[in-house]
Amino acid sequence: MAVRLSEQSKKDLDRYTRNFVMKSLQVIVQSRMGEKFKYSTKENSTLEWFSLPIPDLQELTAVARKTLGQGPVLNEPVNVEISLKTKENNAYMFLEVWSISLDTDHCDPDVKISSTVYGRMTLALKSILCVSRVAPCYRLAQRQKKDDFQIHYQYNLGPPHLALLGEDIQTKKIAAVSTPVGTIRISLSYTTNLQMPQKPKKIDLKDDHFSTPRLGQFSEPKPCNRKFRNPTSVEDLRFLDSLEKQDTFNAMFSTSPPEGISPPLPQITEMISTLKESSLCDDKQKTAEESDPFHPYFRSAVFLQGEGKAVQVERPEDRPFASLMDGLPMPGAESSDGSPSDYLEQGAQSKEKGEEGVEKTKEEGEKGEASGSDSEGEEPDSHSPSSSDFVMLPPLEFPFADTDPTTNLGQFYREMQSAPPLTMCEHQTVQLTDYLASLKGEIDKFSATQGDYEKILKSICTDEEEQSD
Amino acid sequence: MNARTETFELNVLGGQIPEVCNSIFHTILFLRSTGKYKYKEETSYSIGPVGAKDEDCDFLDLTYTRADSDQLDLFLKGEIEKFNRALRYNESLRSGEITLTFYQKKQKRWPFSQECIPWEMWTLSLKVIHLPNEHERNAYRTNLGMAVGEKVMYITEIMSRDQYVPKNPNYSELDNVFDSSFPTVQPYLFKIEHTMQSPSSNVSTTMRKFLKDTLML
Repeated sequence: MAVRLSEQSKKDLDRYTRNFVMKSLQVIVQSRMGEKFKYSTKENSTLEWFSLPIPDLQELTAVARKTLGQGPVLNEPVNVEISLKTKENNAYMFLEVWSISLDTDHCDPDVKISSTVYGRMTLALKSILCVSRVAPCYRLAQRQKKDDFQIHYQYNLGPPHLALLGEDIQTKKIAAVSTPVGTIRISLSYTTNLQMPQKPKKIDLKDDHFSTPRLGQFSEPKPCNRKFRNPTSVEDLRFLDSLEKQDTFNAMFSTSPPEGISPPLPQITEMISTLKESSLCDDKQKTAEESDPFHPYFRSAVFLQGEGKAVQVERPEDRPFASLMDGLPMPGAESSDGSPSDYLEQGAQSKEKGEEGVEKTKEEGEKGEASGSDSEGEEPDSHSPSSSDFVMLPPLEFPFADTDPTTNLGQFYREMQSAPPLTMCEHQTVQLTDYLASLKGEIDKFSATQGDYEKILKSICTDEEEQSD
Repeated sequence: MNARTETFELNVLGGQIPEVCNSIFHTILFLRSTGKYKYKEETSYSIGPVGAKDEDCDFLDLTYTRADSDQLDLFLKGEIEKFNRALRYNESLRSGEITLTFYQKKQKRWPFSQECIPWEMWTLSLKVIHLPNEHERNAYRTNLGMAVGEKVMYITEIMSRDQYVPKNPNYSELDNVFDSSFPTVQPYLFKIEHTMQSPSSNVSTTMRKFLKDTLML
């Protein structure tokens, strides 16, 4: 039975719960990127939620905020579905479902929110971090490649759809956080049968076809790994931007821990706003440019001349299906309210400015990366405007390195530990038959010439006897 | 006060002993550590962050998370190496136990010294096995990785239960609860001990216990 909380306690609990869920979603999806992480501590840093220096990837934050909405979190269970998609088979094979839910039947009415609940959430987040590495899907995620298979994620609300995992399922309770309004439970269900469905389903027959769709299920699963990910959609960024604007002041506090750990506010405000301006604007500018196929830069690339000179045609009103694209921001639209169209406009202006604009964008990109935002910047800067040409370069991949040099070292060591197969045994069957055939011929030959050998032997023996006499 | 006790029994190949111990004990220590406390007054403090790091195992199909503290890692590896040497390089020994104990100190009146009261114990009981060929050893590498993964999941489940842990201390009491000797991480006070069992001593221990129990009746 839930207890009545004071206004401040309720506000704190809601804030902690929201941040706990957001961080959990980050940890789960980051663990399925197939990368090895090191969350390092910085000297004298106390500005980390739940005392864990886990960076927020901006795209994941945008999708999570879109899924969770702005109301109270955990009115419904929050799920992360992790699936696998191969290049050949277009179907998704669901590997695991993480579920975070609030059990209102079990409460801890006397618990202190600022210390005990916060501490329990910290422990639960660490538990998620530990379990995400030992779950079977982690090994698969480490082996994913663009041409082979990819791991995808999807956030949604509502009861977890465990039927997606098939019949062979294991469910583990990861952690439980008792609060005055209920117990937050985190569980992981995963399949133990890794068989891909043979054919993708052509028609989806649903009993709830005419009912409202599941909350938070806006789109298809997205690749976990940044290398395989499409740029964040303009819609996502617009959503994130609107939230940021409404919640700018709250967001500054939401990145700081609870009471007792409050740093000097003006410095933090200044720092965060600077980082936001640099990273957010730049990311939005880049991703919006990438996602809009009718953006001037892309049009320039389409009409690329042989000499590498771009012919720039800036007539947004002439673009095909313009009436259908009304929902998207127009590159040439004039607005000054900081909306994504502004960033697109800035992008176009920087294009016109030439190299100066390019350098500025790159600098801002580096700043954004340093702030722990979505690191799309790891890829070659193929989307940055350049006055000379617009050749899209593939992402840099090491031809002989799989994932991580240390993993390769371990693999090499194990290979060296096992005895190599003998090369002389590889074609043993062919050699043996040939040898047997030749042996038979040799025996026949020897038996045919047996008389001659005996004559030779006799002659030798008689010669020796004569000499001895 | 009775300490909570958990025991994990695992069969391992000789080369897997350090990684099995490290993966389980590092997980426990990561969960039982906080960031460094920075006291402003006797009762007012802020908590620093705890870094985390993924570690891949070479002899197990497993990756585990540990606190990002090289000093803690070094200390733990040193203790585990003593156990590894004792168990692996003594032909007569087949199994052994290594225990991670969390305790707190209680001040006693003069002239008595401080008392160490354990509140949680995690025991890892390992039996060394030998497999005849490389194929079996490779298969066991995968199986043991999964088994250790299951133990890690069990540990997280146990830890999330509402059980006794020492209260957050005041400044003067900090060293009675936490080990503040590590620069970037602050685990609860802990110690690691190991015991060895040879096949013969195992039987004798059992017999001794049996006789003792009988006589007590």
